[in-house]
Amino acid sequence: MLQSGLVKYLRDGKGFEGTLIVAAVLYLLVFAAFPLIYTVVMSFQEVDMFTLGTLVRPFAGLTNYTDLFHRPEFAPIVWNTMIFVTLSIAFQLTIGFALALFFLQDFPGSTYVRGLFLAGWILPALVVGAVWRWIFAGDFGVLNYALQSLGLIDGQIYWLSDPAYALYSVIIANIWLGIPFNMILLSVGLAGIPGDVYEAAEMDGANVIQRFLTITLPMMGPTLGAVVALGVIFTLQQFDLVAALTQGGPANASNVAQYWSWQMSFQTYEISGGATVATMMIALVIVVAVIYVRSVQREQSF
Amino acid sequence: MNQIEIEHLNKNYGSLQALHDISLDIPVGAFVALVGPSGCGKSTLLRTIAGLETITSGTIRVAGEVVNDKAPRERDLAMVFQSYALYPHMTVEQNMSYSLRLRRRPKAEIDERVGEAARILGLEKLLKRRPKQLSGGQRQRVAMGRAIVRKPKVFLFDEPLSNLDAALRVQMRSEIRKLHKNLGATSVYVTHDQIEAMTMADLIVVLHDGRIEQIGRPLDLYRRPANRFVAGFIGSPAMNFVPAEVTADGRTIAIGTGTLLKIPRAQEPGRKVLAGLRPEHLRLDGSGERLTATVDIIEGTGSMTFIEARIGSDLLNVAYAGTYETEAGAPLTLGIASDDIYLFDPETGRAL
Amino acid sequence: MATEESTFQFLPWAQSAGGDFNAINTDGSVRALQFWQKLVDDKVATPEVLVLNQPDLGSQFVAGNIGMIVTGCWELPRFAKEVKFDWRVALMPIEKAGAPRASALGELAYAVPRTSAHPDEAFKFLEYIYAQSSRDWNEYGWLPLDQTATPKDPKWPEAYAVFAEQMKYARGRGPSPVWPKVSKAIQTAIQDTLTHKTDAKTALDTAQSTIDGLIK
Repeated sequence: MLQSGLVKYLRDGKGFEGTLIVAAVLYLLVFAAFPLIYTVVMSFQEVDMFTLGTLVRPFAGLTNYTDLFHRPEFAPIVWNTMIFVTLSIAFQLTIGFALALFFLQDFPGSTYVRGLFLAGWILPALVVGAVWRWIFAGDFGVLNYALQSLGLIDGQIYWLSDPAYALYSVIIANIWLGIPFNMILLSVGLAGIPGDVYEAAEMDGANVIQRFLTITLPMMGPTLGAVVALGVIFTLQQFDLVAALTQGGPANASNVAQYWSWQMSFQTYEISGGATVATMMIALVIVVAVIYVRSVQREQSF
Repeated sequence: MNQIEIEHLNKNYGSLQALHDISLDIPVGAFVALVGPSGCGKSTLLRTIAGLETITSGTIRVAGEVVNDKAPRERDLAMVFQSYALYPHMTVEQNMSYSLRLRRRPKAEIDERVGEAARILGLEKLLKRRPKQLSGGQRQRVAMGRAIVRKPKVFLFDEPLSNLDAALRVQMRSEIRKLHKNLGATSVYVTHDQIEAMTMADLIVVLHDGRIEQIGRPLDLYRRPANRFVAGFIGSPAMNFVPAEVTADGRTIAIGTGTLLKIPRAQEPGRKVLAGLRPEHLRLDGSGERLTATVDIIEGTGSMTFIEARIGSDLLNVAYAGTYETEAGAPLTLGIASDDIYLFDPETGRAL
Repeated sequence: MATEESTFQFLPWAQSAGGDFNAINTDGSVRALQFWQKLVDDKVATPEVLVLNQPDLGSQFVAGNIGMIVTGCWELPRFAKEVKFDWRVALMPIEKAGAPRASALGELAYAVPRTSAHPDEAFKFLEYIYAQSSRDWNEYGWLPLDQTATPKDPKWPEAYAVFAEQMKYARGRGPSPVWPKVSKAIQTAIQDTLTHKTDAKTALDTAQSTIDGLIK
């Protein structure tokens, strides 16, 4: 009797909503809040392989941070990360936007071709990395072969092993990987602009460029803001491509913060160092996330 | 002189023909209503004039100049959309000044013209607001204001009142009409509501299935509908149609179980016809041509009484200005003036 | 590439020339690294070695793109099956006659936790594992570390002989609890030198001071 009453409560009564909320909150606590706080805590502790098993470790204050800032690779990696994020997003956004506008034109098969573009996005980044590694391979790569066939270059360009190119090769692959996502989000934003607003602008005397500048761009503002914010977050967690393409090398030429953090945590077991990098990235992502949330709110206000 | 001249215009969507051989002259300064049921092609016709739809064949002239291949922005026409199509990211002021800013008019002129339009439409206090913060009626006014500031040759209205509630619709009807008179521009107004067309327009174009059924002044359409469709569409409540047969002498028709009604003009004896009787022409005092009927339904609003009456198997709607009390099943003697009886060919629908 | 693999590949060269992980900036080590640098500069070795790993390079060998490769016996089963040309196994070269031979040991390190409740059983397990050494070669193509182990009827006997000979000179790396960091210092020196970020001597001096700081 009691048991069936409980089942009924959970199924029909307030217990159902309560269960859903508790499940969601529990999930967030265990899988989001705990690792996040644990990472931040570790960035203020002395952690090595021998203290991994305990939670109480010597408090390190800010030494992990100062130690990090004084490493010779710190400045180059921060700079690499900035280039990586900025260039990735700039090109993902412009190319994605151009494609979104292109597929807005109703030509036969446009929806199918647009769907095909998504295929690139659903591929795991590691697979994409493997494919791009073949493309970029220095001695027997597709890209060098193509460039040589076209007569654009004479010798080999070592896309991945030449420190001058490695970072940009990873960026190119990341741009390719991010374009479909940008395109789809921007397509959705563009579809949200009513057609008659464009017609009204046309009647009011706006030509194509003026319509883009005065109607499309401002009305896409919130969507663009959201896409940029998501882009920053995704780019900052783009680990797989780096791992598959260059592993940060050669000589840290293509190393970025997220990969560095992993290297320290899981290759040289400087776990507090890895946690410190991760914590600084968390802070940055939080700032971006706030911008994103603001942007989404503004989107709803139209 | 005509502001707009349309000759033999055809518009196809693939194999579907949306407009058939439309020819229409719109005089300078006229208020022309394009009216018809949904899907009749009235909005398409308006959009071809605007340039938002291409035409398959024919010619459109604005102020004597062929505009077939001109972009909408080169035609100097202003349009008010059914959805208003306001720019959501701009304030009321920016919405109204948009066209002038695109033309790089001096700021003083823009301010003056926007100010004037705002005054005419009572929008002065709303200039800094966004469309989202406005009521439906206010948005409608902004859409009008956006058109007014341009001082165009022609205003195109695409069902501008259909999203408003009934009371506001009646009010805006007369405001638009007044505005038209004051601005003196030509207006082309699309509506599915024949009352709007009747009350606002100088000239009504009735469209049906992509064809023009009749063009005329409102009362001409009411009095002399060219065919059964126009007769049924213009007038409210709608005209009653009763199958009838012309008698041997050609001067009367027989309806229902043999009631004889005198007709205005002699017809070919024995011919089958459709008799059109307007509800408001049927009198309850039995004067004129007399019909005996039975009350089916009676609805009174005080000022008006609507009765659905039965003659044999035919139903007749009666509209009586005033109160009248009776009950379902009661006998009813109706009368109608011979001149108010319309006759239509049952096959072609043409007025006889 | 900049992983443990590059340390693994480099140490025998340094050791053969008189260096070791805790004496990485000796003249011999520097000469060894300079030799590597020259291989890449002269395009004898592809610059791709900076980012390719052992299996990748093994694949290039299988494909006939690389003529000589320094790798381990674990590649034997693959090479035996897939390499389509005539190939042999040779001892690691040495700098000059009489110099000590060296090679790197790719053996696993086992740890028994201090807090373990069953240390005896753990050791018994380890003993069992090593008792099976004789099976390594024929079943997995791995060279048994246990010198007393003798696989019956070894496959590819010629190759086995070379590897068994080489094994005599094998040294483990470390072991050291800070080994990953030691290794990282060496990797950095290799990468910096091969990309000409700095010269071999400076790079190895930097690595040496890092390593000194680590193992004291």
